[in-house]
Amino acid sequence: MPYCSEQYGLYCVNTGSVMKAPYANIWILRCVACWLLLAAALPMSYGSLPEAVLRGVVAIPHPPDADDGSKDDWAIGSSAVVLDDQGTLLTLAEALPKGDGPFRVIIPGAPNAQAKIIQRGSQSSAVLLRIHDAQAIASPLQPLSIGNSDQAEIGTAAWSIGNAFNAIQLDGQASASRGIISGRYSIPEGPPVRGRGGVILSDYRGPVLEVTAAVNDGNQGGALVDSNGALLGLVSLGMGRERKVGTAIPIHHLLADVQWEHSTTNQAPDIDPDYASFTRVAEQVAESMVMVYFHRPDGPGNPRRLRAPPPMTDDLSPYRRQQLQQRWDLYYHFQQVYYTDQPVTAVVLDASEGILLTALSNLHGNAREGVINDPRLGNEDIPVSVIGIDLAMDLAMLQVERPLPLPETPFNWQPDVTTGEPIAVLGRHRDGGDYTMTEGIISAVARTPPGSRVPFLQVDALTNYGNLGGPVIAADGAVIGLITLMGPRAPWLINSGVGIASDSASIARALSPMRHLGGDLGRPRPGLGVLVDDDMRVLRVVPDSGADVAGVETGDILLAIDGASMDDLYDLRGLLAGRAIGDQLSLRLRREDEELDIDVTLGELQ
Amino acid sequence: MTILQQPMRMLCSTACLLGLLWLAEPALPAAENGAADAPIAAPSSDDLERALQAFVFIRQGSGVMISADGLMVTNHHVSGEEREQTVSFRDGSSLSATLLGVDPVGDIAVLQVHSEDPDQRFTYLPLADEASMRVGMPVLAIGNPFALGDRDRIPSVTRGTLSSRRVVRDNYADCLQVDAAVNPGNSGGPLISPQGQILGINGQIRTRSGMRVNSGIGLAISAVQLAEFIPALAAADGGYVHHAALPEGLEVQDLHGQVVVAAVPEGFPLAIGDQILAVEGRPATSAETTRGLFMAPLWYANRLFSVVVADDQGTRLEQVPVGRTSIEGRPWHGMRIRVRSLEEEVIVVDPDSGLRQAYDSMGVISDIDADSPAAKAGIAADSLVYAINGHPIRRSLDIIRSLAGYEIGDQITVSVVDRENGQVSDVSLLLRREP
Repeated sequence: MPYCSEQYGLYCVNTGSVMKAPYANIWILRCVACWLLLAAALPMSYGSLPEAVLRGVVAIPHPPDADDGSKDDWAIGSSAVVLDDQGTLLTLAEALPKGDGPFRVIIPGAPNAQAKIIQRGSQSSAVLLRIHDAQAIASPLQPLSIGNSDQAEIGTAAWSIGNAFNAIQLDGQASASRGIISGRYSIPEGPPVRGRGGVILSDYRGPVLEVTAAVNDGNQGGALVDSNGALLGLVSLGMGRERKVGTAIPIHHLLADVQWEHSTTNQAPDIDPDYASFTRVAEQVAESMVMVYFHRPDGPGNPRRLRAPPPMTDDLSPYRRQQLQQRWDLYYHFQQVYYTDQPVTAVVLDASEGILLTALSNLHGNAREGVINDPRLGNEDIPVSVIGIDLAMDLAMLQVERPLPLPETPFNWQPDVTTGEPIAVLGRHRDGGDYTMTEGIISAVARTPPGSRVPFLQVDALTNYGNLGGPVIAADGAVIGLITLMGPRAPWLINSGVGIASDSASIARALSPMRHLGGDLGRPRPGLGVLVDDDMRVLRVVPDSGADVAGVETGDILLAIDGASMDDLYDLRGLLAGRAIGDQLSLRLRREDEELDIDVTLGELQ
Repeated sequence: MTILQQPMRMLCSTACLLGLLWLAEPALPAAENGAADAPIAAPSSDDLERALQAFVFIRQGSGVMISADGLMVTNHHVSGEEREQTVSFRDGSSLSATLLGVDPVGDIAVLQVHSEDPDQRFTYLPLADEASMRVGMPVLAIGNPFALGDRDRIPSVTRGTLSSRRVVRDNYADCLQVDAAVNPGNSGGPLISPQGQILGINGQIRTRSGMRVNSGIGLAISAVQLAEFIPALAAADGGYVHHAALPEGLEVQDLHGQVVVAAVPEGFPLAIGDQILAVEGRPATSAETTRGLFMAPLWYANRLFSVVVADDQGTRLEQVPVGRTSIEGRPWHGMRIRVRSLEEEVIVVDPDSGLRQAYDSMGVISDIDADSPAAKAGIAADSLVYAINGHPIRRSLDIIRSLAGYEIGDQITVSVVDRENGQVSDVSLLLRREP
């Protein structure tokens, strides 16, 4: 029996729940049956993580959202962590269902229990609960030890453990995912994080640990533990708006708020051994990153051109909320990538000459001027201008008006890159704080994305707008590429685990043309010779242009080029990429109710 | 909040949209996958190289070779049900492939890849056995996310951790949960161990509210399930295989953390109130898991499952007949049959009695859909239908009756009359899902 309960913890713990008086006589039989039946089954081990840690997290089911209007008759619950063997639980206020409880709690392998609120935090959303069923407390609750969240550096190995998508409710076993602490910052004032149907998932603001371990609906209030299984924080669904990476609220922040006495080790939690060498060099490489604020006088890059959707209120119908949510999601997306007033990341290429390098995608619109403003440079606005671009590589070279007392980016111009090799991606959070580092591997070398003719690297580290133009580093700290090609139309979205980087060997070839000749800046580009609005309706036809000669008229709506459809100007630009002045193409357009195909010869873009 | 489930099918429109500008630039030579210092939890470069060679590009999705003589596996939602297909490899070669069998419920399809060289041995990956699947182990997903490899034919490799196994999620009755980046286009691709063995086939992702891509929860159909289904799929002759299921009339529910029988069909060896402890040697942790334990294995006629049940008398082992999953959709044979009076009488030789009898009305096939099961079985339009499944067709209602209870994946028998000599011959055809 001891063998049984140790080896098949989940199963036997589950049957343990029926060990009431009339059932006691079958307990041994049951365990024999379990042993016989499960002889082929495996012991539960969790890599480097003690298996018992999985039982330190319980589920809080949520009742179905009655007015949801969806066919699914169940909702996604949340999680809580076990603090002691007396049945004390810690969770977040936003993780609890509506009302003051008591709340139903699911302990893996034990009867369902009820828990009451015993204290609410005043400075944070920490909530202490206590299970009040004696039987449930008698079940094997597995309190988590308290880790040292104050010393959890970037690169610390971290596991998110919880009821992700109701894992505990469905499988009787917490879902666990491994990653690292990738950033430390404060979530600033801003709109709350909303889920489907516009439901507010989190309106937390304050200090967070950013983590690359999976954080999903259901994880909220669950554990973030270090590699020894000690609690570093409670998983939150709050996100930095421009990071969109999972976060956890540091455990010290929460426990101090509810005055929970605990002992903490002075030792810092372990760094992920696979990324230890990165952690040692990342901070130094990050010193070569600067934030650039571009002036966006016209074009889609100007944030004033973006109108916010109507505000989301709770009295709207679920259908309307759903629709509005989609508009807000799009609004935030565009605000971050297109119409941004936020700084973008660049790296120092030549400190004495004041030369910076960034991704051309960061210039959306036609930004050509900007400033850098860095505490290391005395917090004054220092003008920068674009001196060269490379369309194929998605690169832009910037000139600062003075030498920069900053370290230069340690590029390895001839890297030996291998699929499967570990890498890390560096970036910054808008509101300062430390740099960020997300970890991964090289997913592919010599990737040629759609529309491109030069090879890029593909990495599986989480990448987002704060990483665009930022460095990809190898284990020795050498920079082997810059994150690029993160346009609003790229099918791979932010943090999808598909990141594209220009590799340093290709960058090296593009540097000299950009620096001395401006690269593609000012080079004639092919164009149709029309001015169109957001709906691709022709506003004006340039006289004697290809379009004019072919007979395009004002009011026509452009639909497709050579069979590939286009919805907006960015599609059009993509379809013209790689074509030359003088090329002929087939343009489909709608004139009144008629669709026409006409041949157009490309001229010089005016 | 509800679960958002996304099959990772690529839509054509997403693949070709990219709003950045590129000009022609000479391509650099592709870097080679040479040897390098492997990270601690990564495969050796030989194992990874083999996995990349065995990877298959199919229909903007992914697949993997599983035998040297050309068997490959992918998701049903990637392959669809078209019989003849084209697949491509990392070396840029394209080969034809024939669909051998599909499992629409479990989302698996097996294809035979044809090589012009009869002696060609394909690089393939073996299936991992269950003992090697440790929760927490490092895993790699190989795939074609966002169809990025459709042009350059370079598979993508993403790394993660096995988060959970033996998970039941809707129609994925025995799957692995992983936190490796898995995205639209990864569907059908292998999830492999660092030793290059197939742990599962990536097929679904769960995404966090407001996000449409990988958020660290991927579901892969377990190699345990694959091992049982692949032989049946390979022998299905282009048809379907079925999953077992909870028998009709048997219902289980969660009651205070136990799985309890809520309803039983008559004559069943279980009683209402019995607690189910295990099914086929696996623990029944919840009603949902129990449903999955019944559903994960292959269905075949007269199959029995061992079920451990408990009541207040004790624990006992019962042999329970299993049900069968049905495939969603409308069964399709492709014939339009009308019972109508004939211009001249037809003399038919009854196949059972040998007696000749004259008929002045009978089922007549007015039309046959192109590429339908009937067309492929060689049935011609205007044929006379004497019986279907042994049920004589004399009135319109007989057509419906003769097909009642037959589902997608079942064989039906159509008895056709030869107008010349009145002989009746039987033609078998497979009911397919209506396209």
